[in-house]
Amino acid sequence: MNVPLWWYLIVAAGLFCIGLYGTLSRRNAVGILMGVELMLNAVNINLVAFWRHLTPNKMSGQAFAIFVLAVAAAEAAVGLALIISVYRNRHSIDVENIDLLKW
Amino acid sequence: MLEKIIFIILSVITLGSGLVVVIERNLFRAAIYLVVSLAGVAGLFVLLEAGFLAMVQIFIYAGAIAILIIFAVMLTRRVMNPDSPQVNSQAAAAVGLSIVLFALLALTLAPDQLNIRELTLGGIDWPEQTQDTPVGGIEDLGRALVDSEQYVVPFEVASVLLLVAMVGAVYIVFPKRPASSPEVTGSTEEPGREEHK
Repeated sequence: MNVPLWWYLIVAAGLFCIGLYGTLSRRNAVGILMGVELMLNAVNINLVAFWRHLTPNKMSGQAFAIFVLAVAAAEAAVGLALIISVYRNRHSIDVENIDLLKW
Repeated sequence: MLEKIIFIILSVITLGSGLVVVIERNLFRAAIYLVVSLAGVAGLFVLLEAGFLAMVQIFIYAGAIAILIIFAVMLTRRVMNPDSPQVNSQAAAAVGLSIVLFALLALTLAPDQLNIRELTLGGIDWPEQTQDTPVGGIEDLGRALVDSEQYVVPFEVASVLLLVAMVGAVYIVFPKRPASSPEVTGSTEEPGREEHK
């Protein structure tokens, strides 16, 4: 408990911004998914840090972190399945080539 | 003091390998560094006395999701030459946006500690930290997840979501072979043939 809350918040903000950069700048769809995973982890750090420092006797922070984990697992499974499917049909996972839905 | 040193080491590991994840050209290496970064986050959870979450983080993120990502990287490795540029044309704007967002977040989260309160609109006044209250353990977490007063409905919804996501993922990647022709799906480029089951 010697570590102040705002240290965790700054680290989580840094990880979120790194993930945001990866998501916005990668051309490879798998790379974009990795950036999203980093952002979800930053959110989890925030949730657990707030839980530990503000309401350590209620479990809401940890419970929400677990829900974020579950949704992240579902998102990774569906996202990677979509990438594999696109790769099969288009032979590319460069998101700049995947413009079927662009009008 | 020791906790602060451990926190700084873990933060450097997490942020440093996170940075490698987004700038590394070789995507396979980026996936390996993603595992390192997620393990660093698990270390931060241990430091926050959330042992169960740290374990789950290692199992699900560093185990399952990272393996899934490495599989996807290897299955699609031929198409993205690592020597070609890995970033799109918005990369410079993305750097700027990320740095601006981080600066704004830092200004908002910790104006007092960074001695910049006069620059901001005042930031957020966090409530007094509860240093000495007993920390809820894994038993409390388990009870909260199945307590009808608390999180049992989101818990069940999350399990249904995982089931639907799994069935959907299997359906999406299942190779669709036409019943009449023995042609292997995916071997030829047919832009007109889209997903009509």
